[in-house]
Amino acid sequence: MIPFLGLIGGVLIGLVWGPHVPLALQPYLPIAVIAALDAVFGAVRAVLDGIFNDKVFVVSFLANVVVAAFIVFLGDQLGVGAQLSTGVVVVLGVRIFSNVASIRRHLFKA
Amino acid sequence: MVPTSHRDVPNPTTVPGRRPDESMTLLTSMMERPLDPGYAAAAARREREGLPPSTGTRTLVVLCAALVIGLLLTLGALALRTPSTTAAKAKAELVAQIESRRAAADRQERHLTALQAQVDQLQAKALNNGQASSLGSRLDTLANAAGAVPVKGPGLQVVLDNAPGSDTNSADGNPRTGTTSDDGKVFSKDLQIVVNGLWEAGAEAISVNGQRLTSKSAIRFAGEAILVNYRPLVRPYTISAIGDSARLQVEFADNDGGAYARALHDNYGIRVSIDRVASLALPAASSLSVRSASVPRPERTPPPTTTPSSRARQTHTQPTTPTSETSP
Repeated sequence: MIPFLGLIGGVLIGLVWGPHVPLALQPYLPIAVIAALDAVFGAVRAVLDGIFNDKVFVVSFLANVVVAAFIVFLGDQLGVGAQLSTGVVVVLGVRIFSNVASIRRHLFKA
Repeated sequence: MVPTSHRDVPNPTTVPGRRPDESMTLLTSMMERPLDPGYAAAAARREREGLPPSTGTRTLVVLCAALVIGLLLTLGALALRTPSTTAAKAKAELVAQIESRRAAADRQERHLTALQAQVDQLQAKALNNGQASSLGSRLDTLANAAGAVPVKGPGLQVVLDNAPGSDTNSADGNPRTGTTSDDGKVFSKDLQIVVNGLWEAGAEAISVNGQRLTSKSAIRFAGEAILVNYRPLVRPYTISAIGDSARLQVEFADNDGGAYARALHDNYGIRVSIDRVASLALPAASSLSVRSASVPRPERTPPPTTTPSSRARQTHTQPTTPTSETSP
């Protein structure tokens, strides 16, 4: 319940406050969003597995976002930003899908 | 590094303790253990310490993280959606502006037509009032000469075109952006001389590519394009002159303009064709406006300063148009 309230609160803050993201940071946003989603689904699965740990959740979330942003930054410097972004999206996307599949098994037993 | 080719592993099944899909450990681990191993490790540690494996989700840290994640998702959605919407907004705004301007122009044109009709009506009434018919015929003559009305009749058509092989128009067909220039081109001076030759030969009305020449018309160069009445023309340049076509042809062949046209053809290969046409239709000049006007005196003598004011029309495309006051 608490995390859901937090999520909704964050969305509301974003909608109401609506801060402008600087242009220099905008290339990292999609990757950061994917990384955050990965952390969230991992956490949901951990909750269902009964092994959730708040510290691990926060650290994995921050680390995911930072590493993903760094990879994109590095790719931009090397001129392969688009390819590296694709790689990050593929890896995190696969993780998200298998976590969601396991969540589904937990919830629907199917 | 894990071998990635089957050649490097001669017979994997013979090696004990090795998985057959060892060469794909990266993919396998990604697919089989998508969960952060940190969760399992932390749970095991807590169990060793006698605590329940899960910390539960009702902690301040989780709340903060959830807040941040929600904010991040919203920001991402907002920021990445914005550019397309601003572009679309700008485009829609431009389209709306274009449409409103076009509608305004159409309205003005309808207004102009209505006013023109009104003016014609008033003029006919005023001319019918008194000594009028001499004024009316004088007005018709002046309007014809000034190019204020479309005219029709037999005449001479002179077509000038660049010499073969000197295609000076650029690929996009815009005469302003052409780059090459050589002797085989028709210049504005050539047009001027030919047109003057036609006037001299007795032409009553002349148009170049549909642009009616008036006493204030200019034929000149702008970049690579020839402008008549400030409109760029595309070749070939068709000069239509109304008059007695037989006499026009003879006189034009005799005078400087005709000689110049022949010289253009002989010396520079410019294509010149001169044809008598039984019926030519010349449009009215589009750029006339009233410069001066006066009320005709009631005396018998026709007033010298009357202008074909009521026939004069003004277009919105050329705000600084020359005017037509008297006959050329």
